[in-house]
Amino acid sequence: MLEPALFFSQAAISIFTNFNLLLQREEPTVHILKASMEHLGKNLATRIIKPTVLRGISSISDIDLTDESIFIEPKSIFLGGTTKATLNRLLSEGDISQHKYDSFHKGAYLYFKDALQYIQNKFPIKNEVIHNSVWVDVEKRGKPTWSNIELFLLKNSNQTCMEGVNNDKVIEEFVD
Amino acid sequence: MCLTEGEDAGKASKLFEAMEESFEADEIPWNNCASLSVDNTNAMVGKQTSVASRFLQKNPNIFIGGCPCHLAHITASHANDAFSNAISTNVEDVCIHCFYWFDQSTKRKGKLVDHYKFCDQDYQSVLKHISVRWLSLERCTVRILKKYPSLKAYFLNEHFADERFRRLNR
Repeated sequence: MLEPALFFSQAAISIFTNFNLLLQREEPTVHILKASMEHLGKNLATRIIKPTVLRGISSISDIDLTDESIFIEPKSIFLGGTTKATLNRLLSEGDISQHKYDSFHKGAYLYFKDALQYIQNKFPIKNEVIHNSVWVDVEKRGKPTWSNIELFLLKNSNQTCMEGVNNDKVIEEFVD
Repeated sequence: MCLTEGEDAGKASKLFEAMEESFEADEIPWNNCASLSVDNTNAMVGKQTSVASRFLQKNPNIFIGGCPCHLAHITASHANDAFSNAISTNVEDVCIHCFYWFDQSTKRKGKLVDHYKFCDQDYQSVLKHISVRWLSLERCTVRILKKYPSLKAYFLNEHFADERFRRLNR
């Protein structure tokens, strides 16, 4: 089972590596954090959750992982081309039993489900600062609403640099 | 730089003390502190008596940003544990055992070189996986997969009573 397990691990870990590499840079990344976390979660979710269920959710925190009916059957999970080919070869050559073949699929299912569960429980997906900081991204300045800006004005109103700042003028500048 | 030293250098109280001194020396009011970005240890972001909780006492509006990369690493580690339990093979353990099997033994490395030659592969050492180093598992698995024919041949042809060898030979 080691060879397909190595192939599977290699393919699965790369999902997390992409997330890590994106966030490890000199420039601030707070404005892409929410989207990155959602992307990571959805990337994992697409492996085990039915597409019809995923189409109806706006955030991965909305997925009810206790509902067994939303999951793809473990044997139908996409393991990666090389992993699946290796696993099938080992089965056809008699190196692994059908039970081990099924266990591998179940293991892959648990891999993605546990990862998704951990993301839902521990990642700051619902944090209001991270949620509203999308306006930091210059390229997406047209998308944020006033509520995104208002949060930061309220939170930082005591700061020295905010003294004398007129909120009405900020609104005017935002609308412009 | 807020560096601390001594036996309690890693304690939240000591770390906060150094930061507070720096704030005072530079005359930075706590109101001007907008966020704190730290790693996810208890001393840093724990709910009570951590550096973060002390910052929040000074200014409740501070945004505490843990490290998302660290979270991704722990997520992958949890997922790997679930996978390993289901298939009774732990890729992380294999990487660690494989490195230490060859690490200190010139004789074993010599035998491995023979197997590399037999399998028509160039020699490359097994990489060391360190569980606290973010996702180093990917590099190690890639290396083992690259040299899989030679490594497999080695473990099938050699015989040792050692527990580590038996685990790798399974």
